[in-house]
Amino acid sequence: MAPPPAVALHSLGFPAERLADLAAAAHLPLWRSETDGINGRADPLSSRVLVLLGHAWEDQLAGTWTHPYTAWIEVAALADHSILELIQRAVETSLYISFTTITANRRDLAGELLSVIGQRRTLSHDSRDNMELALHEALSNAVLHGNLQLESLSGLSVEALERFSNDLTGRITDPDFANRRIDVICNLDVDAVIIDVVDQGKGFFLKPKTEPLASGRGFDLIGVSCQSFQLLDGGRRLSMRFPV
Amino acid sequence: MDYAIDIKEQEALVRMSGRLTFNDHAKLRALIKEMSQNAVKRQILDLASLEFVDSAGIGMLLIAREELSNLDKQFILRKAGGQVKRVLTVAQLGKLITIEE
Repeated sequence: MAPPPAVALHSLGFPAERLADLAAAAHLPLWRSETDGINGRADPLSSRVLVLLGHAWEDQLAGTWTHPYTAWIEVAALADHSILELIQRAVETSLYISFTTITANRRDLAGELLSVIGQRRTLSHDSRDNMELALHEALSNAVLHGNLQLESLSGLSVEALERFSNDLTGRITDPDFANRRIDVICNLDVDAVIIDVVDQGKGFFLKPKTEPLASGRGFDLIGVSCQSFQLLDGGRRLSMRFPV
Repeated sequence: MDYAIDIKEQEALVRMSGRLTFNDHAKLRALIKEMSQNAVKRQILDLASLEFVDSAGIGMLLIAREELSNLDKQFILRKAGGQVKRVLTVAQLGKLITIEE
C-alpha cells in the first residue's frame, strides 16, 4: 500500500473540477477523507492538508481547525494563478491563513489559530495568552489601519467612537477595501513560534505617543507579549517571535 | 461582551463578562449612555467575569471615563483578573482610571 501524501489539497464549497485542475497545476494530490487518506497509514502529524474555501464554507470551518489541516485559503474572487501562488506559500509554511479583510474582521482568527498551535506545541497558559493577544492586535491593525486604511480614533468621546464605527462600516462594505487580503504565516520552529501578519494597505511606521489617546496601545501590547517583533515591507508585514 | 447594571442608592454596579474588543463598540456606546443617564455619581465596572480585553477595549474604557468625568461622575474599575489585569497594567490604565482590587 502506498504511503499517504505528505501534502494534499482539500476544499469546502468549491467546484470539484476547478479543484482538480488546481491540484494538478500545483502537483498536489487531492485529499479524500480522514479514514481513506490518513488514519491507519501514517502519523496524522506528518500529513498536511491545505483547504481552499469557496462558497458557504463558514459553518464547516470549525471542524478544520485541527489535524491534519495546516492551511486555510479563502478563494473569493482570486484568479487561479493567484490561488496557486498562495498554495505554494502554504506548502512552505507550517500553518497558513489567507482570508479577505471582511472575513478576517468577522472571525476570531487569533483564537482559531491558537487552538491549532496549541495542538502542535505545548504552550503554558501565559504563553498562549501572550500569543493570542499579540496576534489579535496584529490582525486588528492589519484590518483596520492596514487594509481598510482607517485613521485612529480622533478623540476621547462617544462621537469620535461613532465616527470611527461609521467609517469602518463604509470601508468594509466597499469591495475595493473588503476584498484585500490578510495573510497569517506561522512557522513552528524547535524553540520558537514565528507569526507574520501581512496586509495590503499603504504601510505604517511606529510613531511616538504624546498623550493618552483612545488608540495607539496595540504595539505596546504586542511588544510585551512577544520576544521580539519587526515591521517589514514598509509596515505591511509584522513579524513576531514567541519562545516556546 | 455582555453587561448587567445594578443601580443602588450610592452607586451603579456594572458587571461585564465575555470579551471586550472593538467589535463591541455599539454595546459600549449603549453602556456609556446608560451610565451617563442614571442618577448616581459612582459608576463601578466589575471586571471579574471579563475574560479578554484588547487595546481597542482599553480605548473604549478611556472614552467611558472621559464622558463620565464630563458629567462629574466617578468611573471605577474593579476586580480585574488574569489577562484583563495584565493588559490594564501594561497599558498603565491605573494612571488614568481608578482601579480597585
